[in-house]
Amino acid sequence: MIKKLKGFSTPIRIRNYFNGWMGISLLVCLAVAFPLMVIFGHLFKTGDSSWQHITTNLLPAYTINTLILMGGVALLVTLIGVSTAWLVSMYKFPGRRVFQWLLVLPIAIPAYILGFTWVGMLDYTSPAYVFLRNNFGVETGQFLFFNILSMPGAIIILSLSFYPYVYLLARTWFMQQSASILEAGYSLGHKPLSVFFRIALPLSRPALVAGVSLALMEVLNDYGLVNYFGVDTFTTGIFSAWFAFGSPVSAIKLSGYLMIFVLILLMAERMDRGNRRYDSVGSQFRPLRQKELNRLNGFLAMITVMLPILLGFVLPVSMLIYWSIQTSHLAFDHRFLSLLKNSFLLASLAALAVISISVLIGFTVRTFPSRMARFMTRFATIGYAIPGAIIAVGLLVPFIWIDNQLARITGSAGGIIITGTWFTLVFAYTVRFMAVGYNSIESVMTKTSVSLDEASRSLGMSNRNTLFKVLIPIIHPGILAGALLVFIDVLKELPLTLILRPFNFDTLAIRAFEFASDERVPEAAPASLVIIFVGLMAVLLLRKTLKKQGYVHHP
Amino acid sequence: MSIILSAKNLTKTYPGNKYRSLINFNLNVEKGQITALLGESGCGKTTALRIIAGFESAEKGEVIINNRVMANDRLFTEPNDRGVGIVFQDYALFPHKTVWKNIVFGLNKLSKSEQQSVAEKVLSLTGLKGYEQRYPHQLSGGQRQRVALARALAPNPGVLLMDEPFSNIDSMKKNQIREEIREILKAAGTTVVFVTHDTKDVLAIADRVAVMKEGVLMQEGTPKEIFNHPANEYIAHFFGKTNVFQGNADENGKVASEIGVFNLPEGKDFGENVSISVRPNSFLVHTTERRGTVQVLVKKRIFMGEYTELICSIQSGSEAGMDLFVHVSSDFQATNDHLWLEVEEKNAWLMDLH
Repeated sequence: MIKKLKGFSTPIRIRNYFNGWMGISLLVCLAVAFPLMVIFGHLFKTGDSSWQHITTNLLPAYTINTLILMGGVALLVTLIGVSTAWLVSMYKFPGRRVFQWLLVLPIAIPAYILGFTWVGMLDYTSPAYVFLRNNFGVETGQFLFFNILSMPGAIIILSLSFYPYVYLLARTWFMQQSASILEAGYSLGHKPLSVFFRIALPLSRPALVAGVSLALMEVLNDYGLVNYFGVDTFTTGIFSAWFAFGSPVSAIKLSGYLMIFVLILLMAERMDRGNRRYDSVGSQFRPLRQKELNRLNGFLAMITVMLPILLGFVLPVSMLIYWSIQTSHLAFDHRFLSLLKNSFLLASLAALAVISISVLIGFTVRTFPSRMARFMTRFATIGYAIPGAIIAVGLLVPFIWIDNQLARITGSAGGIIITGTWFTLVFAYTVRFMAVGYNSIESVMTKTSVSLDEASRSLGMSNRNTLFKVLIPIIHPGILAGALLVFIDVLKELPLTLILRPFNFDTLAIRAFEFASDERVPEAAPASLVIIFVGLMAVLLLRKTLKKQGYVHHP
Repeated sequence: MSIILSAKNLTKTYPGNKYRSLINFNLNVEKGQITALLGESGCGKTTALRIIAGFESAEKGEVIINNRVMANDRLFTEPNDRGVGIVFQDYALFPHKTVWKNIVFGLNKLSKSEQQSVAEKVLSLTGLKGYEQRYPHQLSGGQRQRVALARALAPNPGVLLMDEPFSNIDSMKKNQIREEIREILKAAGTTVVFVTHDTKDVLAIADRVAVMKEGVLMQEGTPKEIFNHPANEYIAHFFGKTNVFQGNADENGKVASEIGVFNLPEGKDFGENVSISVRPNSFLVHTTERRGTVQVLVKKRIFMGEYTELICSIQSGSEAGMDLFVHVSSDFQATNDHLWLEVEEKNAWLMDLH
């Protein structure tokens, strides 16, 4: 048998803070947080003449519209999400088991696609309107029923798109409640509705706050839909400041203001997460048993649950399929192939970047746990809360500056060296979707016993060998899942891509958005369907993890 | 015998904790010995083990293995360079590797043929021949433990550390497995430190034991020494049932108590208040009154197989109302409710109150 002892020692006090792993991780975190620092650095700079115009004429409208949009969506997603979650967790009715999964599906459709699909389904030439007009003489103006291209329309579409966040968290929460808590309510003489409002709803507040704030972060991130619907918000403001007014300073300052909204949301969610003491899960836990409903009530419950699925998924997807068949002779040409190639390649690169960094940081925190390391991960994953437009602006401004400096040095005229390249795009995606990848990797890592790492090290392996020979082979399913989630998110992404894409460069999302903006909605269908189809894989993956663990780590 | 492992004045406070998890911990382990760190959870025994292994660093103190300083206040040697083998409580077998691959994992510095011969050797030592190609999930708990042991032994570590080695073993099989593990360890001639909260583990396999409480090492010795001569009441109770009487020492070294008058051992001074521990099987039981005995009322008789446990209460005097455990042989026939108990000097262990 062998005897080997190397004589290498490190001074002890600093080894948990200053080593190669921590050093590299810190650098990466700084890079990821870089765009945000740019935004805050510019917040108090003086604006130009465009900024004067924006503050006096547009800023009030941006603020009011953004607030109305957030308020409306918050109310509606709560209503849809909580009511459907309550019905499927508490009652037995036909199709309950299927519906509880179908209710998640709308999350696979990006809001802007859902938006223009509905516009196409309700406008003057839509099959439904034509049918009703010709047979029943229904005449309601440009659109069937009501003018969907409006604030209420935007609120409805965004809510249909984002209610699954609330639904998922609320459902998980209801499922975790011990039946006895609710039974206690019944036994004390309360009727079901009273139990719902007095016990279940207050109990599910943490899930609600988390779900609604996720939905609202998506609302703040959205550009495609509000732009298409003509609702001027901060995000559209950033775009017009940049592209219409040509004023990067204004775009940055608007981003800074938008960040204030984001920070309020983040703080609300963090504070609520901080004092979550509502857990009743313990040895006394008894799962809920669903109550049988009579036929009428069962039917009503079924209709309630089916409505968001129909409006948010089945109808729009059917319409998109119909349009795709109609336009198939136009759509599937060589340009479509290059779109596919661009989108898939970009998404793969971003997934690779996010996952490599996540594994690096995750392993560093695991191996050298400290308050600083934990803080570092928060810093690196803040991007999920920040609208894509802000990240884009925060990256573009310094990159343009660097390009100009480089151009001055080399003496060339056009300063496009790093702006408008794939590198910039992948960098931005990495910042934006870091949390998606990191969370799935962190969750598999926490489930993997640290003693495996320790065993490897006690058997003479270095940290690097431990990572590659022990940890990665064990957690690779989580790595793949995280990569897939990032991949899908990149595929759907619009605002960031619109700002940062190289000249004459299209992705599936951009093509769909541009066709729709040019009032050629049917031609946007094929690209949209590809995005939805890939998004559905995420839902399937989500379902698998949900089933396995009974909770959500990435909605 | 030569000292293989020595821990000097180890002190550790975990970040965010007010109290210290380990306070001036000292331990010397001789070559080939099996030493147990015994104590309740949170007593610091696992902390001590992890500091020796190199997974934690102490804020004060020194770890020396094979005459090499592994850690002190200036130096820290990484776990992979300490030559320490570890068997984890959850065994930590690599789930994606076969038994064979697990065992040769720590042998990567050796040539293929050397790996082969070392692995063969530990496989036969641990009785795992024929299981080489199995994966950990295809093994029983006891087999997994032996794989973990084989893996840790393969690189021939200077010291083998084991964390609660028997806590995951079915209680029916514990005795047999303790015996097996002791045989393997002795056959390999390994120096072992293991952590446990179960005195049965200690009595079954340890050569020496260190009893810990609240971060402090309270007593160290052979299991027999500590069983018979616990340093204080806490340790006396930890090692099985005992009856503790209160005694008062006078200036002549005589300790008076309800159960008799005893002489303080040479050179011992516990102050005025002395505790006297009497194991349940150390009483002389009389059915009639005698001098120097204490009268008790039998409240309960519990048949335990090889012996019968009597639960008795003292009727009068300063210990009135105290319950005593008295073990008598199962053919002890007396049915009277009153008994008189006597303790011989050699069976009364005088110790510190705390």
